[in-house]
Order: sequence, then C-alpha cells, then structure tokens
Amino acid sequence: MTITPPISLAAVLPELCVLLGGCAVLLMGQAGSAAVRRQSPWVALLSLAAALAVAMLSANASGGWLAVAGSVGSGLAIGSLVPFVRISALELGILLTLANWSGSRDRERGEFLSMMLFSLCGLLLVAACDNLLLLFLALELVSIPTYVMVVLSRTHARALEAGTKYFYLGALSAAVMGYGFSFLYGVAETASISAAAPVLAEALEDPATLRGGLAVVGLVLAVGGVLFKLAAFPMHFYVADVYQGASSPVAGLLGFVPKLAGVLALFKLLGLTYLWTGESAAVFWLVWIVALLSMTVGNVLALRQTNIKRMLAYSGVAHAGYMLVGVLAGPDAGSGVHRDGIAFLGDGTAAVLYYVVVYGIANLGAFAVLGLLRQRGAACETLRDVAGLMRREPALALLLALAMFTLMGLPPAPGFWGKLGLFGSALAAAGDAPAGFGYWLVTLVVLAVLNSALAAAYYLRVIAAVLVYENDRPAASTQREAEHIGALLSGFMILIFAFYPNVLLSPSQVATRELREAVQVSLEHREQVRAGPEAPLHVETRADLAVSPPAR
Amino acid sequence: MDVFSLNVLVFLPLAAAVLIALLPASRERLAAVVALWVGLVTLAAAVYLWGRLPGTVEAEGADALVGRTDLSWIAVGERVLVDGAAVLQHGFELRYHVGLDAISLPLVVLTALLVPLSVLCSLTAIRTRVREYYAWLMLLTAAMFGVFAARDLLLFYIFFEFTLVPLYFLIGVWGGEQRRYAASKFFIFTFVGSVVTFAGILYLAIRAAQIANSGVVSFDLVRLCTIAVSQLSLSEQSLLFFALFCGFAIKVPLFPLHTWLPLAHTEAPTAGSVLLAGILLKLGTYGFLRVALPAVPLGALEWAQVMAALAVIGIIYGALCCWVQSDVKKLVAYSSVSHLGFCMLGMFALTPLGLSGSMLYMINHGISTGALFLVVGMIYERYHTRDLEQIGGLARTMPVMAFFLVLFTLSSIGLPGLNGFVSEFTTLLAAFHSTTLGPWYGGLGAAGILLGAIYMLYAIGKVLFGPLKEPEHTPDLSQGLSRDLNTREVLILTPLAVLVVYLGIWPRAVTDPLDPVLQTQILARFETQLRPDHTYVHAGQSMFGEPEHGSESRAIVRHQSECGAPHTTTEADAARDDSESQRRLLPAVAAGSNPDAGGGHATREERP
Repeated sequence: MTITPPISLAAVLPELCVLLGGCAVLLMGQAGSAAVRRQSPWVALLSLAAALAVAMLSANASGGWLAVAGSVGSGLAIGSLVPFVRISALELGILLTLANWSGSRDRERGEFLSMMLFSLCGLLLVAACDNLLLLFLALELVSIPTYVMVVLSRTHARALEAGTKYFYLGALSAAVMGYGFSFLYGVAETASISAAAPVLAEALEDPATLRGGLAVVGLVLAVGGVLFKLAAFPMHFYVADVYQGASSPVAGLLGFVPKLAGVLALFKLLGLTYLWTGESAAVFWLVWIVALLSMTVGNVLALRQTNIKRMLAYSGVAHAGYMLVGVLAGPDAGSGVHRDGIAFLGDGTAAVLYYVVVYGIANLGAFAVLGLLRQRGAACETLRDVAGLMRREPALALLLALAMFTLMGLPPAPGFWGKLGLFGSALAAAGDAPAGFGYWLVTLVVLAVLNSALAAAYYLRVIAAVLVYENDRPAASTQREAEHIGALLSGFMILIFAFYPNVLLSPSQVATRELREAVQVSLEHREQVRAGPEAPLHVETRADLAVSPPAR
Repeated sequence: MDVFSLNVLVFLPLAAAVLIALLPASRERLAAVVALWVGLVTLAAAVYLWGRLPGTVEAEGADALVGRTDLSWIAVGERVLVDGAAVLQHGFELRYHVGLDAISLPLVVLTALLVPLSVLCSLTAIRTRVREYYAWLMLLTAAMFGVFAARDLLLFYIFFEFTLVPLYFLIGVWGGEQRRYAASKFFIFTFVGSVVTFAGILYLAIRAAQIANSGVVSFDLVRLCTIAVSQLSLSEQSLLFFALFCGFAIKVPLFPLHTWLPLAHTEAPTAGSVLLAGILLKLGTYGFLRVALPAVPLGALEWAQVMAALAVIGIIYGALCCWVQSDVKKLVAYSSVSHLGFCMLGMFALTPLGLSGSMLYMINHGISTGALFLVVGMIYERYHTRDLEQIGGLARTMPVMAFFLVLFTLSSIGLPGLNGFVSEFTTLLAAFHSTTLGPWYGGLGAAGILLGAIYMLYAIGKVLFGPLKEPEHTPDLSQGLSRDLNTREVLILTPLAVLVVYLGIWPRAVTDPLDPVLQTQILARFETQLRPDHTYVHAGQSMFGEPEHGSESRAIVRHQSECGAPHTTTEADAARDDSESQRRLLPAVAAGSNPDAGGGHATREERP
C-alpha cells in the first residue's frame, strides 16, 4: 500500500512560504535580544517576497513541477482565480508590511506581524477552496488574526474595546455562516463546492419543497456571514468603531484583506445558484437590495463624520455596495454585447476584482498617510488635524488627495476605471437579463452613480482640508522610513493604474475564467434538466474541466 | 506638423504644470514666466491649426479633422491577428483619439487666447502659493484643450470631469471671502450632474455595441453617433438625452441649475472667472452640440421645447437678477446665465441658422464676458471693492479703462457692429423661424436684449460716470499699478477689443467653415431620423406651411430649404441687412399664431 500525500506541496508553495514566515516572525518576536526582534519585519517582508516570486513563477509556468492546475486534493483546486489573488494579495501584503513596520510595541511586534501573515495566508487559501468546510476555515483564518491585530495595534483603551467588539461580532457572523454551510451541506450531501453547485441550484429554484426551503435558508445565512467580511449592509455595524479603534495602517488592512476574502467567498457561494445564468429571482433581489442599502447607508453615514477614520470606514460600506453591483452583473454579463468573447464591460466579476484591489490600495494609502501624521503628539484622525497639511508635508498631502480622488472615482483615477467596469457590466447585463430584471439593473446603476456623487461630498472635505485650508500649526509626519516608502509606493501604484490600468484589468479578466466556465456548466446542466428528468444527468464539475497536472 | 501642434496643446501645459510644481521656492517668480510662455506657444499652435483648417477640409471633406491622432490607450480583451496586426476582437477600448474640426477649432483658439491673458492678469493679483497657482492653471489649460480635441466620448468625459479639479483649487485657495463654500458648491453641483452623464455615455456605448453586434465596446464619437442613432427607440433616446442633459445643463448652466455659477464666479480670482466664463461654461454647450444632438437626435427633438423654455426663463430671470445686483462681478456672472440662455435657445431651434448662431454666441460670449471680468478684476485690484455704491465716476481718473469697459459692455448687450449683436440676433431669429419652437420663444427671448441693455448700461453708468467716488485709502497702487490701466493691462485687453470689432464686422470668419460641418454632423442626422417615418415634403413649398399640415413635415421643409442654400441666410447677411431681416421676421410671426404645433409633439405621435 502506497501512501499518497493528501496534497501536492508544490500547489500550495506560496501559502507555505507565508505560513512559515509567520511562524518564524512569531518566534523571533519572543527573542530576548532586541536586535533579533528588530529583524522580524525584514523576515516578514522576505517571506512575502519569496511567496510572491513563487506565485509569479507558477502563474507563468507552462510546464514543470510548479505548473499546477485543477484539483490538488484536500478540497483545494487551483483555478484561474488563484494566481490573481496570490499576486495582488502578496503585493498588497508587502505594502501592508511596510505600512505596519513599526506600528506595534517592540515586544509585541512579532505577534502582530505574524498575525498579519497568517491572515494573508488565509486569504490565499480562500481563492483555492473547493470545499465548504475548507472555505469556512480559510475565512476564519483571515478573520481571527485581524481581531488580535486590532488589539495589538495601539496602546489605547479604544483598541481593546474595538478588538473585543470586532471579535464578538465576528464570532457571531462566523457562527451564522457555519450554520448556513451546514444547511447547504445537508441539501447537497457533499461539501465539495463544484459537486454541490448543480444540486443546490436546482433545489433553490424550488423553495416550496423542504430541500428547497433548507437550501434557501442555508444560502441566506451563508451569504449573511460573508457580508460581515465585506462590511456590507446589514453586517456593517462594527466598521466605524473598529476602524477608529485600530491604528491607521491596520484599518488599511481591514479594508482589503477581509474584503477580498469576502468577495471570493461570495463568488463561490453565488456560483451555487442560477443567479449568473439569469434565473434566480430570489437571489437577484437579495443582492440587489443589499447592494443598494450598502451604498446608500454607507454614504449617508460617512457624510456625517468628521473623523476621517470613521468616514473611511463607512465609505468602505458604500464601496462594498458598488462591488455588489458587479457581482450582480456576473461573470458573463455581456452576452448581449458579444457572442463568444469576454469584455471588460461584460464581466462584472472581473471588475469587482479590479475594484477590490484598487480600493484596497487607495484605502491603504489614505490610512498610511494618517498613520504617519502626528498633530501635537497625537495620531491624526479628524479633518481638523489634517487641515493645512499641504504647507508642511506636500508629498503626503498630495498622496492623501490622490487616494481621495481614487475613492471618489474621478477620471482618470483608477477608481473611475473600476466604476466604469462595475456599472458598465451591469448595463451590459441588463441587455439580456430576463424580463423585468433589466430595468432594475439600470435603476441600480443610476442609483449607484448618484451615490458616488453623494460620496464626492465627503471625500472633497478631506481634499479641501488638506490642500485648500491654511493652518498655522499643521500636522507633521513622524520619521519612519519604511512607512513613508509604503505610503509613497501605494501612491505610485495608484498613478500606474490611473494611466495604464491594463496591467490590472487584463489579469482580472483572466482570473474570472473559471467563473465563466462554471456559468457555462450550469447553463448546460439547466438545459439538460429542463429537457427532461429522464435524460441521463451528466454533471460536469470544474474538476473535470480543469487541466490535470502534467505528468512528471 | 498638424499632429504635433495639436498634441502640444494638450501635453505642453501638462508638462509645464509638473515643471512649475517642482520649481524650488527661490525660483517662484519663474512660474508665471513659464506659464506665460506656454500660453503663447499654445496660442501659436492653435492659430496655426486654425490656418490649416481650410486646406484640410478641401483635401478630406467637411468631416476632416485637423491634427488627427488616433492611438490605443486602454484596451482589454481578446486580440485576434488580422493581416499580421493584433486587432481587438472582443473587449473594451478607450482610444486617445483627438482632432479638431470647424466646431472645436474656434473654441480652441479662444482658449489659447484667454489662457495667456489670464496668466498676465494674475501677475499682480496672485501673491500667495504662486507655484501651486500656475501649476493648477496649466492643468486646467491642458484639460480644456483636451475636451475640445477629444473624438472619443470617454476621453471627452475624462477631460470634461478633470477640469473640475484644477478649477476647484483655483477658486478654493485664491478666491474671495466665501471661496471654500463656492468651490465646494461648484464641485458638487457639476460632479452630480456629470456622473449621470457618465451612466448615459456607458449605456450609449453598450447599446451601440449591441446594435452593431460587435464584441468591442468602443466610445468613438462617430461610431456612436451613426450606429446608435439608427436603432435606439424614442424612449431610450429621450432618457439618454436626459442623462446627457444632467451633466451639460449644469455646466452651461441652464435655469434652474445655475445657482452655483454666480457664487463661483464672484469668489473666483479674476483668471478663474475669465476661464470659467470664457471656456468652461462652453463645455456644457459644446457637449450638447458635440454629443447630445448628434447621438440622440430624437431625444433632442423631444426635449427641444423644454430646453428652449428653460433657456428663455434663464434669459429673463438672469437679466432680472442682474438688475438688482450691487456687486459688479456678480452682475457679470448673472449676465452669463442670461447670455447662455440665448446660446441654448439658438441651438434648440435645430436649424442651420440657430446652430451656427449658437456656436458664434459661444465665441462672442467668451470674448466679451471674459473681457468684462478682466476689467472688473482690474478695478478690484485698485479699489478692493466691487460694490456699485462705493465706486463711481471712474471715467474721470481712468479714461482708458472706461473706453474698454464701454466697448465690452456694448458688445455684451448687442450693439450692431460689434460681435454680440450678430449672434444674439441670429439665435433669436432662428428661434422665431424654428418649427420646433416658434415666435413665442423668440419674442420672449428678445425681451432679454432689452433687459440686458437696461442693467448693463445702468451699472456701467454708475461705475464710470457721475461724481467721482472712491473708497478711502484707494486706489491701492502698492503692486506697481498706475492709476489708470498700465501697459500690461492695455496689452491684455487690446486683442479682445480687436476681436470684438472684427467678429462684429466679419462673423463669417467663424461661421463659413462651420456651416458644412454642422450640416453633415448634426442637421443631417435630424433629417435621416425623420425621413423614413414621416411624410416627406419636397423643398420648394411654402416655408411657413399651414399649421394643420403636420408640423413634422414643416420641420423637414425648413431644414431642406435652409440647407439647400445655407449661405443665403448666414448671420453676416442678416446682420448687414436689417430690412431683409424684417421681411423674414414678419411672416414668421404670422405663421407662429399656433405655436403649440411644435415638431416634438408630432414626432412622438407619429412614430410607430
């Protein structure tokens, strides 16, 4: 009897790099000598860079042991999403490491940075999950370290309060999500996502039956749990307090890592339904209402803030709403636009991926600047604190303004290209959506653009404070080189994506190939089922479609 | 060379902005010099391009573009090799496609003229954060040139939106007392409108791709205008027009969306006011002319009467507001609301005469209102007030200034012989004759001329004549100003004064190249829209057909008869021969006894 390993290690090499780096940093943080402890950020950076290098090599490898695709065992499948998520998450991870370089107290830095690495590792795993159980674990691996990070990031009592609040609400949402997953498992009788998709999709279409009813309950609970990660309505209540309590760079992390994880999980969960083949009215309305309320509630609440951290927190809720517009459009939105190809304006999910990354960078840039600034010895948080920044710190002031313009979506900032993709794909989807849906999609787009105009008001306040107002004693920046580099790098990336968005748009397009294929599979499956229950049911799973790893 | 000159217009100011921002603080004085030279170079380039227009048109036809550049900027999607070149097969494409035609060139020249003048007028007025100021001014310049040059709708939108940022800072940092409030109001107003326009543009592009059954969503203006037009339903066109209206009408600004304008104008520094009135308001009218009319002609027809009604209300309301202002700058600002109303009225007459009159109005308003803001700014620099109650009789001490102020005022109120008259007259005439509008619109609009003369002359009389009245401790000559205008200031105003007279005598310099382009790009679309669905009546019938004869066919007759001989009704002729105009006016009034039988209604009812 030969023992086969449960998983090919080559398939998860980047994740392993990050994990090992995290363990090393954790141990180094406990070292007695301060000199060793001081090296821990370097180790974190090194492990991320190594993981990034491996991820890039394996993404471009056409053969050899690194070129892994398809199911790799243990509920993981390396699809087209994985390379995109790995590369973007690791690049942002490097920015996050720079921004958090000396963020926590010396004694706790090892723990802090290792938590960040574990969280990133969880994010990488979410993309590869093809199993409900593993998806749950990966999502929790994303979240649990962030609870610790919030507490460790500041010595303020507020951080403790924020961490506790975040932890309890996060645990609640995890419980809700896990409960939902158990229903889905019960109905599908399998935990494999690709195998469960056809069964669940059919069951969801028939909510009157017991199976259908249970599937609906399961899906709603699971999506509800994921909305917590996305910070979308109605699971947004924690954001403002948590962002305010955490240190600024950690708040920057909270705007990207859990959001991307949530988006990926949402892709996987909604792939279980007929939403993207344009049938499931119930799911359509669920996402439609959540999208509209998220952006409206987020923007209205953000409009009332004078604390920039709270404002950015609520604006994150609104951005989650914009992302849901793209989710609603789906990966194959533009079949009305093109018959057999894929366009940026026809792929809502690609636009969402692009948007999450751009939002993550801009959000991180803004928080990195806030983290660098000190006003009378205290951290900068309010509009009053940053007033007149242009005079003393022109580079940071311009960077903050650039981040705000990106979040606002003013052309040609990268946020504009993101909104172009999100709203364009929704309009393209409206063309061939079933009767009635089309109008509602167009309505949603109109409400979304009005919302982004509403958002301009509060972003403009920050820009005005920084560039227009005069202040005799403006905030000054602390002398932290790594953080400065991190902030400037994020500004640099914003500029690149503004004038050459192709570098991110095209990969996001490639990344969603597996979602489009899944839509094709469920379309075929649906036709088979409709053709007659007697017809032999051949279910093609994603594992069948995927290329098997080359023999060695 | 053409291509080079055109790209100099966009990229030179952009590069200058970066350069100026990076100047060391000790070289602050260089900022203005760099900006001035950039302004002069772009002026030379613009004039050169203007000179190239006739030759290009002769070689390539009425739709020719001077300095056409067409490069791929952002392309996402699947490429297929066709004849060795990778061609985008499925995807989305944004092209850097620029070029100038007879519609955009006059505006480009106007921009190129006003930019160096506004740099010159800022030399003494701007004393704080000098480098920043000129950097923003240069960015604004690049964006303005970009809007007029863009031939890709998305590119147009990007430049259109981007003008907001520099102007926001120009007003917010260097403006008057309420500058921050004014700047924010300006930004939010225009941004709200233009995001709706953005949704409309996206929808238009996607629908065009669907109709053409093409995999590539492109934003090419010509393509959008030809493809979408033929198959969009009336309701779609109407909604699209409304979406475009939201962005452009706020920019124009059309009543009741004008409330940001007086504030922004009053609070802006002189250069900001000049460019805002001279160029940025035209982005709205240019947007209607370039995008809304050609892309959704049915929607425009449907909305023509509403637009014209808003324009007329704007004309009268703006004029009445002017009457009660005590702040000279605010008065000029409100007069813009009134004047742009004429421009929109002429445009939505949807006749060749109206369109070219409206286009001419854009230029003339840019010149005379820009000049008025400049003069008011010069007064303000000396007296630190613009209150009509505090200054008076300045003609005694500032005769040169008085000369210019009177000249520009007369141009602004439409004195025959000066430029304002020609355009005001043609737009009103077009509204009278238009079958979509009718004499009521023209008649009510004409009241604006009367009111304009009242408020302008009243205010100018107070400022210039009567006993000398100066606030205490003024004039402030600390910045090296002389009591009357100095050479620099005379140099600023002279080119504008020359243009005021030149365009008053020879408006055909602008309109002659314009007419064929307006015909092929805009009016032709209205005809092709109408012909298949409606009774088509041959030209030659009575121009003012019986009201019961289906107003739609009347519209066609109008187009036909006017298009057939475009030069018989050019504004130049009309301007020179009043009695001829009288003859033309009279039957219009007679035929207009039933003004409700507008073309828009008929269109709606008769379409299947």
